[in-house]
Amino acid sequence: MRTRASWLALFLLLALLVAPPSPTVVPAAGSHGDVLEVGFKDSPTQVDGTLAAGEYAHNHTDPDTGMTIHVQYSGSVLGIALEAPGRGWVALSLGAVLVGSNYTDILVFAFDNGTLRSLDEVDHGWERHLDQAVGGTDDIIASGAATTATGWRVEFQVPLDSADDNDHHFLPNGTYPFSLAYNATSTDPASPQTAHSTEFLLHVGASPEIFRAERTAVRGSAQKLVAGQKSTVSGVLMNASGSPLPDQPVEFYLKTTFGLLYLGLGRTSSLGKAGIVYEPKSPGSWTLYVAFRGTGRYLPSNDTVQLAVLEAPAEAAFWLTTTLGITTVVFLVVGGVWGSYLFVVSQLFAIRRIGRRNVTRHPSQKGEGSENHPRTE
Amino acid sequence: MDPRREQETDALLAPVARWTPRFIVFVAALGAIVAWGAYAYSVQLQQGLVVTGMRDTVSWGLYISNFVFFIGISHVGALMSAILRLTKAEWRRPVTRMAEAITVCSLFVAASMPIIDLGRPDRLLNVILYGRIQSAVLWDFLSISTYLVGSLLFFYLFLIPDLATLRDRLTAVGRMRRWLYRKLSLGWTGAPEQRRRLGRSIGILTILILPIAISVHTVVSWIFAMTLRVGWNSTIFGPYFVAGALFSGVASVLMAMALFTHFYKLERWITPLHFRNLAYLLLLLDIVYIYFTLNEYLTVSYKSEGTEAALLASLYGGPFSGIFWTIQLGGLVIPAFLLAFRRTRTTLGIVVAATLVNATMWLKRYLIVVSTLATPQMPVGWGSYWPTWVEWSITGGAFAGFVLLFALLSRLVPIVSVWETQEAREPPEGAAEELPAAEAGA
Amino acid sequence: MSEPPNEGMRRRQFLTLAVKGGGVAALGILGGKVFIERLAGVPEDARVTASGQPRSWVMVIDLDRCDGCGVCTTACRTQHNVPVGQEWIKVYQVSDPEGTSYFLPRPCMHCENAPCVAVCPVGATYVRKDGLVLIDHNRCIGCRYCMAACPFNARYFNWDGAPELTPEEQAIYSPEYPVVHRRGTVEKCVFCAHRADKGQLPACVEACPMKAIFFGDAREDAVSNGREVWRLSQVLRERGGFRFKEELGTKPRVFYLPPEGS
Repeated sequence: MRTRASWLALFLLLALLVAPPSPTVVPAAGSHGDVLEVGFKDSPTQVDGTLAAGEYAHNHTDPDTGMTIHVQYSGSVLGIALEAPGRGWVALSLGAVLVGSNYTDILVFAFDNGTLRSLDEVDHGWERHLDQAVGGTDDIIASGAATTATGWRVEFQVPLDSADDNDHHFLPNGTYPFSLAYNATSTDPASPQTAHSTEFLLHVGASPEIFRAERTAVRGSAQKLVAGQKSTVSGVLMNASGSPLPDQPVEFYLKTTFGLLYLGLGRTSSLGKAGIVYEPKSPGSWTLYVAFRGTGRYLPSNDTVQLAVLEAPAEAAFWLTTTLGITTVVFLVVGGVWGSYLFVVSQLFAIRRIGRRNVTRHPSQKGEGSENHPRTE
Repeated sequence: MDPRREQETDALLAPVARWTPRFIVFVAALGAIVAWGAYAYSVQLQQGLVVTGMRDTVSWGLYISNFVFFIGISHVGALMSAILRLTKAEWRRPVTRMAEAITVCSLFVAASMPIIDLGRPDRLLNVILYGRIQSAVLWDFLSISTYLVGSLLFFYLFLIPDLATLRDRLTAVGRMRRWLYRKLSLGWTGAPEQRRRLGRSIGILTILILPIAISVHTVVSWIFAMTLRVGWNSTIFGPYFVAGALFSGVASVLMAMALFTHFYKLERWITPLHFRNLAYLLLLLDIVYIYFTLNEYLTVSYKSEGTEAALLASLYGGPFSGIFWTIQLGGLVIPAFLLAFRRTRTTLGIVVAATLVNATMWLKRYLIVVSTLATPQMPVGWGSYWPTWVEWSITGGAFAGFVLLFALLSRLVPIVSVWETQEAREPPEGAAEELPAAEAGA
Repeated sequence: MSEPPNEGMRRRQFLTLAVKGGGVAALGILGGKVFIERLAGVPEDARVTASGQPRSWVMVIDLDRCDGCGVCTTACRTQHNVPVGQEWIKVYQVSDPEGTSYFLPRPCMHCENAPCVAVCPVGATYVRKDGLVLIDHNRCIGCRYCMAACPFNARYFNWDGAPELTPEEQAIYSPEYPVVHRRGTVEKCVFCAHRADKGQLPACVEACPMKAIFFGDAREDAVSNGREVWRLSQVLRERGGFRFKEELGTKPRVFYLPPEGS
């Protein structure tokens, strides 16, 4: 008689036979055989170029290049940080998935004078092309970089499973080869690498859900505001098919001379509309960024709108008064006094004229002291 | 003209007629000091204001103190001539010209002081080209230039009849001087028409010169009072400075009277009466000045508000206490006692009091400028100021220049107004009954 | 002649007088208008934002972060070749009556109601439309009245520098970029006007290792230290921002955030 255990064993054996083969590739000869577990995190990374505590699940430093890679995935987004010892470009190359294909997904980053270039490329053997050049899309969701003491660091996010076949697709329980490369000095991605690692493996475990992330679109509303008055600025978040996405965080930023100023965060309503209360300080045309950071399910999106802020009505102040007052007083007084001086001088000329007349008429009258005194009262 | 008057005129014209060798030496000495001051200024022009003791904290020093001092003593002309004339105080007659001469000479020296203080005197014209009417310096510029022209006119108007006398009687002097007297006397003959016109002009200027003089020192005080500095941010600076100006002006006239009476033998005209009357005036102004000083310091000390406390501490017991108490005691209290009591109110006592007053009033201007600038505004230490040889030389040159101008003026025109003295309806009190023998020149 | 000679002459005199008078009046009105405008200080400069609004620069200094290192002073001196003895941004060490001690960096406050601008006799120091107080060193006569008027001791006099600029130096010089100095004029911090015009932060802001100095446009309500962008009105309200010597009424453009626990 067959026991229950043996029925179980038989079932398991059958299950194993029927189960689809996990798409693995035997590691190429020469690799170290390291497997880096990607690790699931509840929240995605902050792509600002700095590593926060607990931001990444795992990391690995490659002995050949000295580069360090940090990895995590959250929902449908893979977050990676690469640190390189030099100042030139860095690249992550993701190995072929399907047997028989001869391309690899390459992500190249270069940080030049504060500007970060992020390139989503595909490598056909010796030739590299931008995904967009060969009919694909640029699927780097976000990236940010910062210089470190010894080199620099880039953080970026890519979908685990984008819609672009030029990209590598990560599936649950998959193990995939990848390698790292960098150029120590040149930030021109066309220049050759100065160091590269041998291949090692990334392993994506089972996770609660991995969806092919949905594209979203957020649209800010261009409004007329009045300086000094509070009003609401809002944005509407929708998915690719146009349905609103409720209860999602939408952030608002103002473009200022020295950077983006965080204005506030609103949660979308059932109609997908999120808003904050904002009091603009001064009139003019201002640039507002409305941004949705993305969650596990949804890809991030943002929008730029122009806000027209009108002047608040104000009473015109007559601010010339003090200056006008001073000037009037000074000119009147000084003018009057100098006018009197001119009058006195004219009197002096008259005295001289009389003196000359008297001399010609009565030359003998000079020198009489008693008559020299003017009449003064 | 009766012989008595002739003698009087000759005696008064004697210093002008003949210059003694002693006077030439005196002028040469003063000229040397002025030349040394000019040399010091050339050093300053060459190397910049770094040769002075001023630095970023105490950025004004001796030059601005001298400026305020000389503006101060310039008020005496308006006081003596205008006020005493309007109030018909007959005793003023022998001393008015001295007072007006002090005004003119001190204004010239005063006007040069801010220019010497400038970092870029080559850009002086900017004050006219780009002048801002909102700045107290512009008000200064306007009022001082107005006062200068006014006091020159004032001085000249009263001089015309005496210039005519000089033209007629002084035939022994050089050709240049005779030409000068002839031209400047405007053909004065004493005709009724001339007298009428001159009388009218004098009347206008007498009334004008007083408000102009008051405005001058008021706007000079406003240079300080329009700032937010402790010690300067006071509402009574205008009247305070005017009172101080009259105070030091009268003291200057007393000193001048003493010197001229002694050296030019003017005892017959400048009598103990004049000294006594001016002593009363000086005492009155002393009391007024004490009143203002009490107002200024008592009100501030009573509250001793934070920022003012540091300044007061430095004045009452700190680095500036020596100067402060010298001024109050030596310049206000002691002269008051000297002048109040008959026993000390001799001519000598009066002149000593006047000298004390003038010296301490110069110290007072120095204190006003430097103590405020030295008081810290930011939470860091006190500023310090020690004038250098350049500043002392230029100061000496300024004082020497003032005395030089004054002395030269006293030898070009009679320092006692001849026609005004003789116009008096009765001889002044205390004049000698007998005419002294005609002097052979002072 | 149809009219008697006297009348003809009178008419001619009247006409010439009228013409002269009208000319003088017109000149007077024109001159008066120009004069009043000059008095009112209508500026030639107008630094504007992208939206065409004039700026209103302010600085915020976080006293909690300042550690008195003095790197700001050095960076400023390097940027402008500041003469020895002058510190356009000067760091004071202040002790509270309670005993807490902190550091206070003091740049020029660029006051809205600047006493130095009010007293300058030649208008060498002036307020630009964006609020910066600048000095035209080609016009300054060195009277040092502005130094007496400044309550913050923020102005410095060039006591012993070069007397005049060479033509090459004159070509570099501008009131916004006073990098060549001449003797006998007054100089001070200019909020790096030459950098602000290009949308860059002042040298002291960028150099501060503690990122304690913030700079920005009050009309944008945003100040930045190069790393963070803070909302001006919010940070002043929440941290209790104050202005030094507020009671004097000069309305400085530099705000200080008090150190924590005070």
